[in-house]
Amino acid sequence: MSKKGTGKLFSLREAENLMGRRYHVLRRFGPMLPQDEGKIVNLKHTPSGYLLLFAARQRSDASRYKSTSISPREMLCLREIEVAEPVDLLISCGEEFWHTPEDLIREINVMGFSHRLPSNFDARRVRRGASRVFLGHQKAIMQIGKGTIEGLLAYLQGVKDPLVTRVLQRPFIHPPSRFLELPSPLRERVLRKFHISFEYGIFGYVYASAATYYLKANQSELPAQAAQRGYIGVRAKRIKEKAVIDDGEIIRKPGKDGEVA
Amino acid sequence: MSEIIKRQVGPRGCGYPIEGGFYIEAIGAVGGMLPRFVSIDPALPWHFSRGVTIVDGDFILEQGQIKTESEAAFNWERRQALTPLVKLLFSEHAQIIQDHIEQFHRELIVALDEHGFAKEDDGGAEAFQKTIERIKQSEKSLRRLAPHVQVGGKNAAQQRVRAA
Repeated sequence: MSKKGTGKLFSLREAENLMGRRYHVLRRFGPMLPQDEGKIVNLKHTPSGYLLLFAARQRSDASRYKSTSISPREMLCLREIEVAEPVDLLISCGEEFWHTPEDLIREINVMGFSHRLPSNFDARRVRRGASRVFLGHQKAIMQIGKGTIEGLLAYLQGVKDPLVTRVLQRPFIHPPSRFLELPSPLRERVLRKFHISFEYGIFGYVYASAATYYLKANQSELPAQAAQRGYIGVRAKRIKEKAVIDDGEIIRKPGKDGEVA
Repeated sequence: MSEIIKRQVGPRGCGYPIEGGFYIEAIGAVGGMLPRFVSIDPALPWHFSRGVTIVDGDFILEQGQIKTESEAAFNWERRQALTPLVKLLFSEHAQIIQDHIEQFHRELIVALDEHGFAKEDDGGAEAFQKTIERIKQSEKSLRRLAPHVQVGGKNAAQQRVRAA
């Protein structure tokens, strides 16, 4: 537990270390009462450091949360009761690699999900089947500044272009991605005409199956430091096909047009 | 010596995995019970953070809505699968609280893990039954599962506190 002065807030490393653990409230602060049980659910960046957002279930209605931001001073009102709690992760998936959230969803359906972690990340608290990996993307949320979604679809149906018809008929798990996959220059024209903008958001999640370390060519076994931090070793061979094959078992093969067979 | 997986891997949107790199994976439906991808529709506004951040998933799901048809069907199937276990662990009239299926399932996975299921045994049906019995005897595990269970319309956690 941090015992820093009141003037200073948390560093990013301190904040991340405190997150995802379970705490008992010892003394009243904000809307929190003694005996409440909650977790640090989010962090907020300020010029002097990070503030944490603490949330606990409401006593009158356990399906709802009450939350308050906390500094190192309020941290003294909490007692940690669970350190082995599996953690959930939020990963921002770069627009430069996956132009739309739907691109990533298609890849997950074919190859599963895999994302690089910082080399100092401790994976012991990532638990198979219990830890969830939430996925964020810069273009997850669509805002229409002028007109309505019905008006937009009606306008697109009026465009006699087989490419547009194909995009309109394709099933999308993330609906806003449909408008990002329209052929250019129609896409730019539509975005301008309807004043459409996109924002960052969380569009889904997957269940973690493992934390892995890809062995270097000169490594014959998993480094002890990686094993201690909960990683499994992988000896990989690159193939051109969009698939992951573990010891002869194909995770999933793509069908026509990249769709899942 | 630690286990090493031999794998052939194709290119992703971000290219091939790098030798010497650490990765988080969600490959295959874990244990055959969990979905490959769960959509949050509509997407949930969140402050941008680069890379990887530890978050509280329950809190995120509380803010968002997971109401796609596939998710509803998945939750229905999951409730059918978990209900007999709830009855076995708590009582004949016990039920998972509405909207707590995800949390209960997660706590159950943690409890199975803590009691050594599929680590110290073959992970078969008999081993599963034995692990459930161990969970039933464990005060710590039941305390974690109880907030997501109701017995006769009352929260099992509150009933346990009163009984204690």
